[in-house]
Amino acid sequence: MNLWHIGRGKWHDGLLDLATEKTGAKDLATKLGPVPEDGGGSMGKVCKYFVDKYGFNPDCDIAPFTGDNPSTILALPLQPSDAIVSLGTSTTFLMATDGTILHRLAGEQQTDNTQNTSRILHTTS
Amino acid sequence: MWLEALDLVLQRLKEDGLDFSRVQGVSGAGMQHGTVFWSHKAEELLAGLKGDKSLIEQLGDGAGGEEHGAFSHPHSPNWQDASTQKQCEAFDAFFGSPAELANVTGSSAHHVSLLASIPQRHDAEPVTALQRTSNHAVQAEVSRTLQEYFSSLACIFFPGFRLSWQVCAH
Repeated sequence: MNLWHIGRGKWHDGLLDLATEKTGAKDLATKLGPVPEDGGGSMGKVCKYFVDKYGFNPDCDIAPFTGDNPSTILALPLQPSDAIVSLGTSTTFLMATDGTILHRLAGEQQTDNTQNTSRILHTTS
Repeated sequence: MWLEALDLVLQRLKEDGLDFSRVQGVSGAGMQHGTVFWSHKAEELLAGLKGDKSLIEQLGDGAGGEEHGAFSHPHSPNWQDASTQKQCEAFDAFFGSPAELANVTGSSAHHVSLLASIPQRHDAEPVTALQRTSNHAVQAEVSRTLQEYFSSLACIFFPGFRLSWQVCAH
């Protein structure tokens, strides 16, 4: 479930109100914080713990992590109508579409991942 | 588990001879549909990590005088936890249909979501219905806490902060 308004690139005020029953939407938005939409940017440098303990270079950048399904679909040269079936803890069917087409199968909540990743692919292309 | 796993994989890579000084960047991917609950001490504990101790010693149970250290709840519920079913229904109904919710946010409602732990202060706002009906949030007695998707967790351990914490500090 997302509270993020993809089209406007900001937290959705109505969903923040729904999530907090209008008692702390602003507080929640502050704690959720800004969302870097550039998946390839740097979140910052590796902290001193990893430098001291494992010998990381202090200049080592940390890029945003992501979900396994979005990364799978972005890592493969998926063409329109191509599909990927991923067998794991949450079996998923991944496919690139031109837009969001929601189709919920009974007892298969993870089906929505397909739409989610397709949407991400669609909006970032 | 998360803390021990991260230290374990890095320790094994070190023992195998990996020269970490040559690593220019770190990123990753993992299951998204699960949650980790931060405690109000998380920011402070992450910022004070020392290389001569393990992550679990510094962030785990008892760290910072907190029962669960940097976390407010001992478990990490995943997508098989259905305690937020009522909230899912409310979200799916918000725009009139799950399809429209997916159009706006990219996803229809899922059981494990940001809703499972709404940041609240003990002294100020009343407990919301979401917290009343979310077993995990109630058990955690969430106090200024925020939950994180599994896939975002390591991205916080490595830099030692969460993006919004950094911004709030300015």
